[in-house]
Amino acid sequence: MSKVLLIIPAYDEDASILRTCQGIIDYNKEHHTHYDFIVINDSSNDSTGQILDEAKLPHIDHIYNLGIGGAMQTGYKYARDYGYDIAVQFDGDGQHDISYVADLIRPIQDDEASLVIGSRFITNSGHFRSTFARRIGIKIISDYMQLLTHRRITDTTSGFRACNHQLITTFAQDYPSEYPEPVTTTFCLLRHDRVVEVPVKMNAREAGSSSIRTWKNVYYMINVFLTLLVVKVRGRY
Amino acid sequence: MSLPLTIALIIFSVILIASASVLVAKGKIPIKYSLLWYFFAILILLVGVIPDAFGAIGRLIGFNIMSDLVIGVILVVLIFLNIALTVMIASQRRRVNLVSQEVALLKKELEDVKRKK
Repeated sequence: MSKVLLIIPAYDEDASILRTCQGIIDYNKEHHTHYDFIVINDSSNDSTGQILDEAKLPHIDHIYNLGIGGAMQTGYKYARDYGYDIAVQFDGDGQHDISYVADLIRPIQDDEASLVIGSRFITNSGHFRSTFARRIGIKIISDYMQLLTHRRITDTTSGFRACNHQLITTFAQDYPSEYPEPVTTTFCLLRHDRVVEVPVKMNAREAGSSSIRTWKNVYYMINVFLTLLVVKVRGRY
Repeated sequence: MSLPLTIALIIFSVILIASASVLVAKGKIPIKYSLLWYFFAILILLVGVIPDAFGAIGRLIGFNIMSDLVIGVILVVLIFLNIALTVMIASQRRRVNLVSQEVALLKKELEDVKRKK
């Protein structure tokens, strides 16, 4: 059986981190799964670190804030060093539903994919509510990525994703600090890695705020466009 | 070029060389980085001392007044220095990030070992 690690990047998530971790532990008991998890406390200002210490939950504390990319890379390093076969990125804010992890890792276990992305858009259930601007943004990035890679990825910014051992090693060595989701997806598509999307539902955010703020939208789009173009030209990030 | 400007350029250049030298002597910056500033200072000194050599280039580009050329040269050099600094900052940031990730992982490993004992 493959060793699965859920990497939970957390920055100021004291309102939800305990529930997220408890959810995984409960799920493991109920479904006889063995998902290990590690919280990457990205130098939170609130009591996230304290909560993790007291509850004796497996976690790694950054000494200063590295951002989502830096936190994920630490997680991939941990996954690599401890010999995990599959690493799943799992949000600490309650957005991701643990019951979909099985769907996410199945294509990897069946050796059908290297990278599996949980998509909110390839199901008709339409559970996920998002702002209009955000949906448009994701659509534009999706079109742009199709132009660069000739492959359609519907949920380009989804942080609910799983990768195999080979990608764990790649990401542990080098992981983009800016816009890691679209950048790594584009990178994998250009390398002809097998990238698969599976439908997932996501909950509305329980706490915390999205790292993509409305007023930053234009700046974000320009940056993503240029960053992906560089990935296309260089063949790496 | 006017005499006051020539004098100002020479003084500025000397101050720049002196400042860089003091920083090197105190061990605040390595020789490697000070070379940039020496180069910059010597360039300014040359413009001040032999403006005619640069005057021809200046007129070729379209600077009619020597002082404009001086400002233009300084501007271009400063922009390139800034690019060099951006590159240095980016590479430093990358390294510091890597170090802090390794520290975080080691701390975790250490705590695990302590707990097992």
